Amino acid sequence: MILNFSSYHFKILALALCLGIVPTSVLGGILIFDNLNSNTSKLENELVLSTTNAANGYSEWIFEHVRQLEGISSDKQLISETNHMINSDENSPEHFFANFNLETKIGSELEKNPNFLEILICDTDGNVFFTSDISLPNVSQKNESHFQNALSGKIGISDVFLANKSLKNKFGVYENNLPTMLISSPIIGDVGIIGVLTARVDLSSPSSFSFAELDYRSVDSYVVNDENYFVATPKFLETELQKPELKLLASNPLSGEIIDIIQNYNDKGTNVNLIGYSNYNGDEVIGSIFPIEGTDMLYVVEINKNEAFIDIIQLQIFLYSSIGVLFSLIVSISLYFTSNLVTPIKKLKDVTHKVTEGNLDVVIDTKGKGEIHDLSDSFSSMVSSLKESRSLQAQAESKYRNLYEKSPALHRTVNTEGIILDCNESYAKRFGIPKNEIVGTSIFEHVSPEHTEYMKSVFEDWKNSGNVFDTEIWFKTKDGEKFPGLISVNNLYDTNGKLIGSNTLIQDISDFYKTLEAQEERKNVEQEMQQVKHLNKQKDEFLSIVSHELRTPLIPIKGNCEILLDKNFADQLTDDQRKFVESIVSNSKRLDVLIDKILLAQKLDLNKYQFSMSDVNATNLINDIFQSYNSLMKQKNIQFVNSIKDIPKVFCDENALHEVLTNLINNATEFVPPENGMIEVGANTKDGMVEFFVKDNGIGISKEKQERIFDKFYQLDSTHTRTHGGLGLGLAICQKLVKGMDGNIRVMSEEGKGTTFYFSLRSNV
Amino acid sequence: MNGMRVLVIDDNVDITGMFERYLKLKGYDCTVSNNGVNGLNLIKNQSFDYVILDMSMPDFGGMNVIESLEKEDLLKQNKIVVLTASSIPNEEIESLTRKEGVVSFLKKPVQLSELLGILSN
Repeated sequence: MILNFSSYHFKILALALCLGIVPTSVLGGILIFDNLNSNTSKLENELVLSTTNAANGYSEWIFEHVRQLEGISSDKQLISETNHMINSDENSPEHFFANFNLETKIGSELEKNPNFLEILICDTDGNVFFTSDISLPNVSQKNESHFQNALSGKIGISDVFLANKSLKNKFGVYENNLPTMLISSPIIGDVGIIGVLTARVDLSSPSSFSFAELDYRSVDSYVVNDENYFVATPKFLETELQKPELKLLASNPLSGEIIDIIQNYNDKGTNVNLIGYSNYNGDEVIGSIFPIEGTDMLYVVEINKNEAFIDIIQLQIFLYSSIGVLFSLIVSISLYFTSNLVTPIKKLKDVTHKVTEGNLDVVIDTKGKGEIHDLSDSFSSMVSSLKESRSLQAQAESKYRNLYEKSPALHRTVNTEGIILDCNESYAKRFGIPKNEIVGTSIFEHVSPEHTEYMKSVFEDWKNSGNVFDTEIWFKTKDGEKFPGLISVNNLYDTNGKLIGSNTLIQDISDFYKTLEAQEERKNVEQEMQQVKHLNKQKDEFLSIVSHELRTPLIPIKGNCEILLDKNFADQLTDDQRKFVESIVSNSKRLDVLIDKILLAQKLDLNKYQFSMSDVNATNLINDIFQSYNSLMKQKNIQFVNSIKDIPKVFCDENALHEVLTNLINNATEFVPPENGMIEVGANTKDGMVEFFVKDNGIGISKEKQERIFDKFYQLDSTHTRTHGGLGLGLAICQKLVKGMDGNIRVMSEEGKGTTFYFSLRSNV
Repeated sequence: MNGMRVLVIDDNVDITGMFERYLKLKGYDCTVSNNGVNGLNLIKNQSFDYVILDMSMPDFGGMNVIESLEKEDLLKQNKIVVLTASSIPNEEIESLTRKEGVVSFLKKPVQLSELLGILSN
């Protein structure tokens, strides 16, 4: 594995180290600290015990020497010899012997107690008159505290000091700077104190205890008097000893109150352990105070706590500094993680928070290296893809919204209370109510009253099953119009899957109903049509039969008339009789024509007329017609004009063309005025068609009637029936024939001025 | 011309009477029959120069008569002029006149002078 500083491996390692170091260190620290604490208190106890022992030992040792000195001072021989010394002349033999005796006496005493280095005796004025070591300077004791004490009848003890000269120690070896102290005891004669016996005590190695227990550089031991003055100390320099007012004070470690320890001691009367006290120097000390029996002095042994605890303190310092280092390390690692992991992660967290809130327009700082960068990068791309999908979704939503809003179908959104929360334009329009008035109302308000109960059951069913599909409900609009609709639901659920509403689609099926009705109507119409057709067929059959039956009698009528008019019979008839028969014949012919017309119309109706199409010379045909109509027109005084000129052959059924022309001409003769009537027949050629026309100057046809004149049996006016006659079949036949020959027929007419019929036929030439 | 035997078969007595009067006036020997079966028997049993046969007769019409004669191969020995209604399509008439023995047709209403032209051919 490559340890890449930007790789997460390293970071995980660092994290693991951190996670490993921190608890271990803390645990270790706790253990050490605990050990330290217990060691501290243990040491404290030991020190107290040691100092107590020392103080006790010293005081007892001093007391022992005091007692010995008292014994010496109270020795009768010594008192006696001292008296002799004081009261005898210096140069007297008495004095000499006394001195000699004292020397002997003191010498033996010194031998008994090796700790007494020297003994001197002075008078009450402090003048030394005897000394065991004559080499010592004869210094007046007058101002010494131990001397003064002794004078007052008590034991006096000096401060401890170093002997400023070489002294023979208890091993008989001379030693410089021995710690010594002076003990003074009054020599009491018969008349009171006659002198003071002072002994120098070697404190260097008390026999009853060992200082080895107090193997500390900072051990102080000294004697204080009841006024709290230092009176002796083995260590203090003389300059310091000149400050006898120094007090041993104790500060209460809890309250900080300063206590006069000696005063406190005197009140209690026993030994006192010094814990948590400060000495005259302000240093915290551990020690013990012991009274020196037989005196009002105390012996104090104290150890400077800081020095005594130096190792522990060093350990503490090490520990605290270790903790400090460790702490800085942790802080550094934390800072590292904060800046490199936590901060980017926090940023990411903030970003994710924003994203959660829906804000996708976030800027992700993808600076840096390693997995945080990868994560930011991934997150960034996730956000952008989310953005993309959100935008797609938004588009889809807007499309959907548009679908919903603009859909021709009726949509509404309903909650489970049946309240309409939304609806689309079609819905609002269909019900004729503005959307804002619909929202918030109940769906039942839009249901046709007779369907409300059914709708309620449908709604309850939906709430239970969630299903409604193509259920037919009749609705009611604001105007009261009722219409059928098929409702289907698209359910809406909350995040727990609970049904909270639906988008309801309503298909307006009123058109379907209309269609149904129309279908029924059509069916009826069809039935009617069928009936009509049937009737029509019956009519056709009837007409066929009628025309046949009408025609049949005409055959013998006409035939017999023909026989009567035959030249064989001509001579046998009078002129009148002949006219009668001729009248019968012409009317029979007319009846025949009428029946022909009916039969022709019939044929055309039934599409039974067979057109035999050919190229017909219409000019000849029209000339023939003019010839045959000539006498009739003269008779009726009608100007009959043939304006046909150079027309090509017409592709048509010749009989049909003849029929059409004669029909139109006959029609015109009916309507031209009795005087100055005029009928013109002509034709124009254009675009491969020949358009014939039959023009008259008759009464004309109104616009409305022009549309109907080609209908069968149509009469221009019922009153005309009589004056103009006819069955109303002529124009209908014309139209059918022209159309049957792929032609067109039309009419142009102005009332009072005349009418022109045009019909066009194809020309192949 | 005179003495030519003409048989007229038509269910209408007025029509057969008219033909009989006219043809006799014109010198023909005219026999009439008022139903198809009787007319068919007359054709078979006697010989006529011309037979005027109405196509539209109840029960046994002109078509039945022609078919019966065809079956017995007697049709071509006759000269039959069929009498048709004007409503009968031309094709039908044409297919009739193509038969050997059917010489001409007359459309109702009949122009008697027209019949005279056919018979004198």
